[in-house]
Amino acid sequence: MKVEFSEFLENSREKIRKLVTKLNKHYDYVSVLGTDCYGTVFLVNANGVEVRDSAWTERGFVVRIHDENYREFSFNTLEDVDQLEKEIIDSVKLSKLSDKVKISPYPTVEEEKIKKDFSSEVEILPQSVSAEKKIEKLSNMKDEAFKLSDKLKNFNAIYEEVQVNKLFVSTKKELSQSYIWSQGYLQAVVSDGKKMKDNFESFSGLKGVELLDEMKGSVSKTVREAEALLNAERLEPGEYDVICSPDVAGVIAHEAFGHGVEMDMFVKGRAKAAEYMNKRVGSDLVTMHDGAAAAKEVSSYFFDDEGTLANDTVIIEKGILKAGLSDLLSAMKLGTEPTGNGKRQSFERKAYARMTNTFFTPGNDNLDDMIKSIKHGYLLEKYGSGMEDPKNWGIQVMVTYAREIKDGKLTDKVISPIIVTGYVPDLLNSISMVSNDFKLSGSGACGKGYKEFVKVSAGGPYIKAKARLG
Amino acid sequence: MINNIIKILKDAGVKKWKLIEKGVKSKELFFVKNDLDMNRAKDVVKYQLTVYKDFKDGGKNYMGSSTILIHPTMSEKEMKERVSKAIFAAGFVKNEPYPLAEAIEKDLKKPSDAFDKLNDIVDAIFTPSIPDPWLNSVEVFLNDENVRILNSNGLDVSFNKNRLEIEFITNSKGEKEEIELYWDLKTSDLSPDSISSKVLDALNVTVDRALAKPTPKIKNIPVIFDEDGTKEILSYYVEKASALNVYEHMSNAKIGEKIQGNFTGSPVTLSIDPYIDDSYYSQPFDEDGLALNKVKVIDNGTLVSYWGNIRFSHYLKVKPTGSLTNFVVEAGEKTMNDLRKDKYMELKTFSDFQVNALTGDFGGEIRLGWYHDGEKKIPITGGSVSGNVKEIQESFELSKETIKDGNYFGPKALKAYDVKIAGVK
Repeated sequence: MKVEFSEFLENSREKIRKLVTKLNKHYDYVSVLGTDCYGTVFLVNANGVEVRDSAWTERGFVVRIHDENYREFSFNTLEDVDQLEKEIIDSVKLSKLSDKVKISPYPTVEEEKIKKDFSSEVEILPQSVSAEKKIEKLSNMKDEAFKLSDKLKNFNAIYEEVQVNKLFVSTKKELSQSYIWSQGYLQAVVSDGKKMKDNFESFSGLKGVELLDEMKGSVSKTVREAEALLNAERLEPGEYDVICSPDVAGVIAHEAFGHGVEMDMFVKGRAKAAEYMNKRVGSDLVTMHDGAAAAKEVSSYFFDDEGTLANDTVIIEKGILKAGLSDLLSAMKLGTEPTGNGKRQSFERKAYARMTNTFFTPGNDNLDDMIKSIKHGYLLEKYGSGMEDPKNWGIQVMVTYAREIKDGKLTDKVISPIIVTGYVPDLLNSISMVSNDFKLSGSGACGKGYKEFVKVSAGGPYIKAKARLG
Repeated sequence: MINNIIKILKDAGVKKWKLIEKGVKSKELFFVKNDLDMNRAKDVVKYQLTVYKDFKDGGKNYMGSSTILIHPTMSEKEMKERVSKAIFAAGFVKNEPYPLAEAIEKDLKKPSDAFDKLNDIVDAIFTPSIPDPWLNSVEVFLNDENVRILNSNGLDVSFNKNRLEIEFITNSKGEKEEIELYWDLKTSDLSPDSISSKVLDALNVTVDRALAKPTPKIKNIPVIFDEDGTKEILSYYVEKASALNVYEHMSNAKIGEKIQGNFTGSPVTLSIDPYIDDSYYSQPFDEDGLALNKVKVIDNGTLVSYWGNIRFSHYLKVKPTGSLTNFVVEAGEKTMNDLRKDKYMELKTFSDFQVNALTGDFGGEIRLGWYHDGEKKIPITGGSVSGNVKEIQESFELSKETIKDGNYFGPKALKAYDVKIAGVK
């Protein structure tokens, strides 16, 4: 089913065009991004139900003008365009600036004339299924879970659907897009009377209500793994052979050479990767991509928040660092091409160079052979979070579930939690086997530092590497 | 707009509702070194509406709810449709009934001159001028926020708040390579002296990361968590005492329970406090419109009160304290010098130090710390620290010195005796 573009943005087109034309009399470059994103979160657990607008809900505009540097104003009313023009001119003006700082000048954006409307499709549109039906499906998952374990204290079944609509109008461009993504979580909280543990499974995609049917098949796995965590042991810190599941491999790709090659960090001198272009940063088996057009997941759009069309960027090719990810303004500073990675948390925030769908490409090995090749190590199966250090190439990945491998076989021993740390090139150079699987995950959100949250996906195959575990 | 929304609710027959109006004006500056890369401004207003619906099913009373955002650009037709869908959805939400905040009228808004201070703030950030270490990049977000909360009981309260966030990166040349540290200052204290002093502290610490050696592989060494780690570890108790978490079975803490076990180290005495001076998070009312007060939650290691909003407090049959994240922990008896005895590791900054509120597990990659071998103090970096709050809480020691950081006011440091270090060399 085709996703229909926002009626509100469609009705606002004429006013936005008028605003751009008016502001063009004062500034040589003007763009306006209009957003109308809406969706709902449904949560069912043992104690009740919650229905609320998605945290990704937003409706508003951000105007960017060029006046020596680039300046922006975010607003969410659109009544009188003449009045708005005055307000924008006044708001972006710099009345006074400390003599300890100065303005960094930029050239004017040069853009090709383009006018295009994009929209995607999903199997089942959110508005075609009632809230009652969605709550009923989630309730069935919760009820199934409680039949499986007397250790279960709570079970959260969460489903979120979001329709993204964006309109970009600049001096020469007029683009519109609409697409739908959804995500879901199953979370089991268990206790044996002394210890409490939780485990989750996540689901995501450029999908509609069909995601709910994918979720129901994983209730048992979620509960069983939570029970296993009650007997989980702590790890003796050290260096181990590990196999990373596609989830964990994805976080490594994301943290290692996703954040590490965001090119606004090159402009700030914050990325060590700038010194390593066309140099070896990983083993021959490492090829890594990022791009809104590189895969179909939650960060697959047609154009970014600065009006640059989506791309597929090869970041690492057979271990050699080839390219970074760039927003429009960083590309202008660096004299490179923008890669369609200029993303905002919402119309209220600045655009930065951000990841989209980031992944390792599959190899030729299979998981069984990879397990057989390990004398003593761990299969790292489920990540909790990750953090980057683009300047000094440190990496941190929190893993919530790992299984021991001994003499080429998985044992019953479960380890939790685990912190994977290391020096990024050491980790990527140690990759010695890559499976022929491929899976992307796009639940949750990615921040830049501790803010600016955006949707991304990450993943790839199983990879075998050497890692420091704590 | 508010009158329009209330009329739509009345016309639709909605008897119970809550409406939060939040207007934010901001000035934002983005610097690369001393160069202003971009300046931004913002003027937005949003309305968060919750509709409640009482209904019976199978002889049981329920109070369903649904929360939606109303945008100022919505037409009356659009708003009516959104409200109608929210009422429909609320009819399937089978929650136990609970009261809404009682009627009070209070307008605590004061005139704000925050934006007039922006230039002085910038001046203060760039005042500490040293060739090495230096400020690599700085982002300044100065918000002037206005909040009004209304409900169907006749509640109507308003307040405003200035919030300043300064994200900055400090760099130093280093022996082998240039290094950086990340800082995120969130405060309502706009005074230039306080800002300059915080930037200077960050610059001073950056020198040590430039000199840092790989974290050694050492077992059984006491660890002093300096600032970040202390705040995070102590926030575990805030989560354990949350009415929401107790009701949702994410915490099994019980009132009267010795939540810290049979401790021999420093006792934890913790309060939630809406009025920590200059805190980014201080505010007079929570999202229900309930007036907030300081409440002691843990007294000398014993849980004496849950904290929470009206709904979850009602479910647990305790007095609602209101929902907020500010917390105060009483200082310990030992000074930093007392804690820094014999061999120890002192950990200052992490990539991302995390505590799992359910299990008590904590850990993080070490960005900067110091190893004291009994004679000399060596800056260290890399590797990780991990442990569990339940395994350290009976013996940990809290410092006499205190810090104020974001939503926290309490001991600067916590010394733990049973944590694991995954060293590098």
